[in-house]
Amino acid sequence: MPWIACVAALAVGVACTSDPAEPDANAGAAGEPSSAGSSGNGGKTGATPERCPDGTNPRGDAKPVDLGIVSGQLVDEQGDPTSAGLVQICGKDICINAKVGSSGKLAENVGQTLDTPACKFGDGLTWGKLALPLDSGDTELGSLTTVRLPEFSESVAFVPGESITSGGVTLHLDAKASVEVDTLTYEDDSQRGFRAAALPEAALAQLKQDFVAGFALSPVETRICPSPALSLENTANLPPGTALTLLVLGLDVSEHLAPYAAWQEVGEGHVSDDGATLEFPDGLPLLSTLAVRVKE
Amino acid sequence: MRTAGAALLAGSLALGCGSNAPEVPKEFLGGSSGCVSPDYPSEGLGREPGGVVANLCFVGYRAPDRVAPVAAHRETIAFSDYYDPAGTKGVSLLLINTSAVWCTACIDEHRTLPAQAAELAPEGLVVLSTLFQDAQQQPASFEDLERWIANFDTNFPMVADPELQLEGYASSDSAPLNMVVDPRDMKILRKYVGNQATLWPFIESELKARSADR
Repeated sequence: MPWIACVAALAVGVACTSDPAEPDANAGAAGEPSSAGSSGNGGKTGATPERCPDGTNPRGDAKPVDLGIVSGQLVDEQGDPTSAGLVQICGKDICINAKVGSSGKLAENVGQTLDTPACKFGDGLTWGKLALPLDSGDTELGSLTTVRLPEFSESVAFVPGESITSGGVTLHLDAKASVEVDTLTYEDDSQRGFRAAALPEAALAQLKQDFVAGFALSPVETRICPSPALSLENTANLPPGTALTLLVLGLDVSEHLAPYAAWQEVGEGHVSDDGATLEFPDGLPLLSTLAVRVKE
Repeated sequence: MRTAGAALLAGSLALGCGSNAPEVPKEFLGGSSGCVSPDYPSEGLGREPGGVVANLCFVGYRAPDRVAPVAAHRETIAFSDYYDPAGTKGVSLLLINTSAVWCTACIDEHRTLPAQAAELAPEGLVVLSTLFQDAQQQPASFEDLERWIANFDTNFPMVADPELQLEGYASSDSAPLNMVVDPRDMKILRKYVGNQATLWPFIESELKARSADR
């Protein structure tokens, strides 16, 4: 678009030669649908201007589920009631904001059929984001433990060629790393740095998987290409050399990289020789909530 | 980064960059009858199929793929702009859509909506979408609207609805809403809560039927 070109010229101090208000003669054609990241063409940083390739995870078939009342109690890491910023009952087709008061009590009478519904809690801004799939009828989710992310002021900038660490998670960025952030949810640069927090034991347990560790990452749905190698703090005190599997939680209904509201294996790793970290050299394809399982 | 680009652009306009620019042709900015339209149907108003949709009035961008979505180009867009009783505007069918930044189903829908809108525009389909809330359920701002347009390469009228004017048609706690309206009388033909697979076959069959009638 001419107006983008104009901005580029301004940025390097060259006279602006393009008219941003002028209609683009070629603009009548359909815009290419966006597919990368959670929100189409995200904000990018890094030396490589190319977009990350689309994920290859196939979109699952529609799974209509008749929902009744979805209830639960949201608590923070200390067990205190919280609204977790945002609690939603979202399918691939409809998204419903649930009402959660200061007591943290959730009792949403959905009364609709949703495609592959899940209860999503945490806003990805102040709180880590989690999702639990829902079955038909009434669902009592019990205690839902959320995890608070570090303050925005503690976020770490994505710098190609450097290793960046937050909350026990280290991303080793390639020198040519391209970073695509969801610019709709994360409105400005102050929100677009890297933050992470370990999931407390109660949060891991509610996922009803055999995970030994988990971390909530932000900005959620950030794509980094090539995928950065990953080091995690060994919060479970696993012995050196233990073989591991890395999984990410699918939070995007388009499912390019992981099935919605389900866990996708994305790599293998091991506990470092000194036992301090869990190493995943294959890389992390997107920032989401992630979990680790001991490989059998 | 496209978002940063839009912000810089607004600044550049204020500073006079591109001051030798030609005027934006009226066909890209005009077309609005404002919020008052004496000819618009006043009887049979309703919020369900069979009812006439009220003439709601918003501010946004009519052709964001052709005219940069910046403050200087915001305009009033009303449903009456697409009221076409005599078929003189070339509008065969109007799809009114709602969206919110917190709504992942809306985001998924808008990844393909521009392509679908472009494909069926020659048949007379007009898509008009409203953005009503941001990621934290706060009223959508124009900055949210502009980021949304940049993210999805929106090529149809897109407006902000921070006042939740469409609240009566579907709860603002639930999104998206897709409402198919007959531009000849502004009656609601179908309402779909959600991004439903049955929406587009209905639209295509309606367009086909209208094409045969002409």
